[in-house]
Amino acid sequence: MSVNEVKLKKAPISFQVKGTGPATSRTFVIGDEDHTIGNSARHILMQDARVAFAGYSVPHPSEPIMHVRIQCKADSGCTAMDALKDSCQTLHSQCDIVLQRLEELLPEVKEDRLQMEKIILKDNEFFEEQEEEEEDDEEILEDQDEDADVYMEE
Amino acid sequence: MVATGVYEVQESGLQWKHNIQQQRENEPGTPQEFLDNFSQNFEMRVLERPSEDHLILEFNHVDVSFVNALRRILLSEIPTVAIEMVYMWINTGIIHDEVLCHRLGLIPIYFDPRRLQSMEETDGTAEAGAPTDRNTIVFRLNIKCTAEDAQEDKKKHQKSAAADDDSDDEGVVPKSAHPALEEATTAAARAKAKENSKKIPKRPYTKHVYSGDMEWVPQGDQAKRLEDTDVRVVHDDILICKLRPGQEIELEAHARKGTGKDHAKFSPVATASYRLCTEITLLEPVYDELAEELVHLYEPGVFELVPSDEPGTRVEAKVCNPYACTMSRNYMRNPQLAKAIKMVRIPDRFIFSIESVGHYKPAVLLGQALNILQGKCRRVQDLADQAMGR
Repeated sequence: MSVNEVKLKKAPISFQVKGTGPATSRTFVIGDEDHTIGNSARHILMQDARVAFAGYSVPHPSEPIMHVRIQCKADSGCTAMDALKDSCQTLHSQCDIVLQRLEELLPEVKEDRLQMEKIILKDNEFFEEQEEEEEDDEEILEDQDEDADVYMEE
Repeated sequence: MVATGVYEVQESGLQWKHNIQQQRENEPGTPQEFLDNFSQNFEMRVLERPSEDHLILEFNHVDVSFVNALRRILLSEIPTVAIEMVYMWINTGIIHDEVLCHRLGLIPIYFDPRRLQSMEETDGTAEAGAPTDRNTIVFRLNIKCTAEDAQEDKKKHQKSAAADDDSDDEGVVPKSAHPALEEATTAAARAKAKENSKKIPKRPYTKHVYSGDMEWVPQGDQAKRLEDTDVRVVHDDILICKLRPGQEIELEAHARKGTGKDHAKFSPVATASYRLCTEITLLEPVYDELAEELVHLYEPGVFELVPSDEPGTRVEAKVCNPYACTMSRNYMRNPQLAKAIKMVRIPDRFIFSIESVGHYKPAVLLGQALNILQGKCRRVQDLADQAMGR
């Protein structure tokens, strides 16, 4: 590696739950995430009737850390963790709906996906063949070592 | 989910106009209700395809945070392949080593990144970060500008100069009586002189090094694995540098997978952007001269002239293409038009434009962006599950 090679740093914390008190209110500290998922998840949390307060922030732009604050309604019976997981699941499903419409609208997306699956299968088969060949080579080497031991004994 | 209001366009800025009826309809409910609502209301269509690499879509009834997330991912989180390490043996050209390497890095490479491992993944055999035939593509650039090339070029020019009889007046500017005509003739004469100077053999011969001169060197098992793929640069007419006779470049460039977050050279889009749609209504009918002014001067492309039904008037202006509106607000200069036209920005209707560099097609890019967004959701869910499990 070279002296001046720059590597992307990972955030020191990848997930942390902050907050004491009833489980309906928590702050989640998520590393390596930013406005991309923060704003989308916040919007979906706001559409959830069980959530009384939802907000996100990026404490400093130089650090790849994002805070999400969720406060659920006391009588809703759901915890902040549940609300977070539900919102991620909803965002995932929303992407599915948009992907479906996209594939209907522009068939090249579906073609590319199917083609890629085939190519990756082929590549994986190729890699497996390579590994088998390497294992065969290793076996041959082991046999040679055994012969060497016998020679040495004599 | 339909937007709960609109932005009214005013002379300076926008004014939010709330729609309380819509807010009452948009009451928060369960996540399933949100998804059903979204699935019912969401619309997407292709507006325009100016070229193969440029796609303009229209999204309707989706929140700005989702569209912005897609835009951010398109710009910085879709992996592509670009040159990262350059091993240089000879560079006697006038372009400095580091500048040349920087230019090489910016050249887009046509190789599907999904077939390449990223440098952080280990293969079990190699340590993380070491170049292997599974995570690196190698290109070689060997260009020499020789004295023979210059000789050939000279001969070519001599032939074409002999064949061409019009090249007698080399740069002689004809004089003329009328000053305006003189200007025109001098400009034309200058252009002709420039043309002629290109044919003069005294012009120094430079060899142009294009991106198409880089050759792919298959490593390890790549020759077999990638024998049916086309590994090349996206555009082979990008000028890298120029060489004079006696100058030479010999280098080996290693390309790897990266994302736009790391360096802009890895970004697969020239740019991806979105803007809000405008809705234009004519509160009062606009006729004749005012209509012509509106159609041709103030907002070209948005309005059109139609023969009017009102007796005593000729033509009327009607809205034909609100997508062409550039929000220049020029029509507000005319007080009559300022009263007659109402422009409004709809906060959940977007014109999304994707210009691809050439690695992927723009529609495929959008599909990838959605997959990456799903990956992020999964990641947060998994992290939350792990934290719960503890």
